[in-house]
Amino acid sequence: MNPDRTVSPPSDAHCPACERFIGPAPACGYCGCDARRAPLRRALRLGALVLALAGLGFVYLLARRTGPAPVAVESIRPTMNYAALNVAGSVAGRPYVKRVRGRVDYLSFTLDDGTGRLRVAARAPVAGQLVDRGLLPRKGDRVQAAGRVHVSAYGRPSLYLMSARHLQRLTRPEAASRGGPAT
Amino acid sequence: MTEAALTICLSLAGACVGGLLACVPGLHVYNVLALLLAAWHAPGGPAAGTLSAWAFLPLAGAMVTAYAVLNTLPAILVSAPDESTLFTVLPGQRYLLEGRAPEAVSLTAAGSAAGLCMVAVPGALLGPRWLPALHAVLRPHMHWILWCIIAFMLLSEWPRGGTTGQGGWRRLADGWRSVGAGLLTFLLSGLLGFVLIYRSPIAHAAGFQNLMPAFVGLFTLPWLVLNALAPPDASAPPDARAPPLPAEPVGGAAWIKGIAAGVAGGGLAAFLPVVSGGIGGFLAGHATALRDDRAFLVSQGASKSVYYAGGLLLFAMPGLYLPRGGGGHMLRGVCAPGTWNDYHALLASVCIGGAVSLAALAPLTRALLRLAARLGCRRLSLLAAAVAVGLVAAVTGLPGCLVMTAAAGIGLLPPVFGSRRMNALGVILLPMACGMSGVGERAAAALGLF
Repeated sequence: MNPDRTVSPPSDAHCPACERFIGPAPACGYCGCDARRAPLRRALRLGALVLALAGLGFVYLLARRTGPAPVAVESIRPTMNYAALNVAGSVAGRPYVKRVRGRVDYLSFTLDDGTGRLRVAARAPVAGQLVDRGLLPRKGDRVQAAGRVHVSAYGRPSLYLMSARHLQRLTRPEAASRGGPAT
Repeated sequence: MTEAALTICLSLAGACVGGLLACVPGLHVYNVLALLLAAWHAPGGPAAGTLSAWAFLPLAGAMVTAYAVLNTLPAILVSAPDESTLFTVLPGQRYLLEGRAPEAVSLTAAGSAAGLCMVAVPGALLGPRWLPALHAVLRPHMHWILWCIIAFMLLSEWPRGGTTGQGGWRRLADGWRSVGAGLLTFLLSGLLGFVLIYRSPIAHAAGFQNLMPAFVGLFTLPWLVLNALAPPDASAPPDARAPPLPAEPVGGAAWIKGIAAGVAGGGLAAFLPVVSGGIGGFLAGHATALRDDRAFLVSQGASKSVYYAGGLLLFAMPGLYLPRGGGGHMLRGVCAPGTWNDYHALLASVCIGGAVSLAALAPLTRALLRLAARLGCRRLSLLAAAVAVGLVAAVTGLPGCLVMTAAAGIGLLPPVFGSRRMNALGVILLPMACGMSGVGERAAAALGLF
């Protein structure tokens, strides 16, 4: 029986060999025993580290293989709220552009894919990039838009572009109207 | 049935459901709300015309409030907290081991009751007058406020080792272990958040529950796994039939300090985007330098009730309509409150939910203690883990399980390396702070997510 140990039972703060109090020291100062944490805790530390790094790596690889899902507007449901979707269709009207102190703060236009209509929108700074790079579509343009979908309480879906590169013009019909953006 | 009677009936039903859900360790009310939402929109479900979407407002209000009051029970009695009750575990554990768990539960519930009173009376009366203006003023500044909170969170992590032994690399590593683990947890959870927000592997049909697997993995599973691995004597609950020990008196100053800190923290968390109840409680605890365990438990109870109930009320507050937290964002897809009538119905449901849950507190405490004594905390934790994993698998499928597993690895880092679990909130803090600062797209592109 060790005379140093009076009340508390052996714990992480005691040497596993001589049971003297050693605090958080990695080796016992009395008998020199390797007193690092219990094997289960050591295994847990290693396991957690491996699981975190490997798991994150696998999630990243899986995400790289999964792009925004192509869907038809009529199939968008409220349970898809915040999902990344990809919709292709024709621009149904002149885009609306809102400027605040001369800077583009917001833009939106309606997209019609033949099954339904969807509002495609972008906030600053994405909206500003679209205007600056001349990527703003015109009425009648066929475009492909990818972004995060928001479905309102009334069931109306909106697609928010996360990046300027997520709006691609597929074709521009000759007969398309030449109306500029409404502000 | 009149609208008032319908509000009362739905609120009572919501309070009962929310109260029972709160007693299941590891089960979050938002997960069940999401399932209700999915059922609501299912073909032939209530959304098809059998029940007005408005009914969801009082139902959810009472459910969330009852959950906010009663989730103290698994946090203290079974050591299985959600994110908002993280900080009640350590003092709660001490009370549990001393056989005074009901006292800890009562203190936290008293804080919750005080928090709900502050939400229902001054908050509800003054909120519609002041908060819209305050929101308009603060809106352009939210991004740097968020960065300040992140900086404070990380800088207030302190080294817990490296104080004994011979100097050298080993001691340096020992000193940096907990701080490094905290930073690593924040970074890894932030990267996971970037992946989930900018290019989620979760199926688009379950997009509304995109973050659920990550939250279950980061906060629920690590507690349950550690509970299940703990030695039997360390997780044994006290005897429910034993006579309670005399409660230590709480001074008036401690009450006032605890309630004020909790209301301030919960209010901040409810009002600011992304900031959760756990962070609100943490900020309030530091701001008021709470050292007394009893005042601390009171403050945590007040903080979470103000965060959950207050956050939901902001969604229906005339002139504001601000969806905050998971509840507001989910409700936004179902109903669009726009009148004082909606606001008052939600307020009534919060009051009814609070009253029912406080009345049910004592019997539920006894029942959970009896259940934990019969099954044992280990078995109860394993059962709860099975429920949580089953829920994630059912809603988000195999990709969700993979996300949950990775998140569980990240969530295990703080408890096994001795750093704060709150760092795992990097999963929303980092991508949202980057997004609000206008660098989210560049960061996501640099990570190869576009």
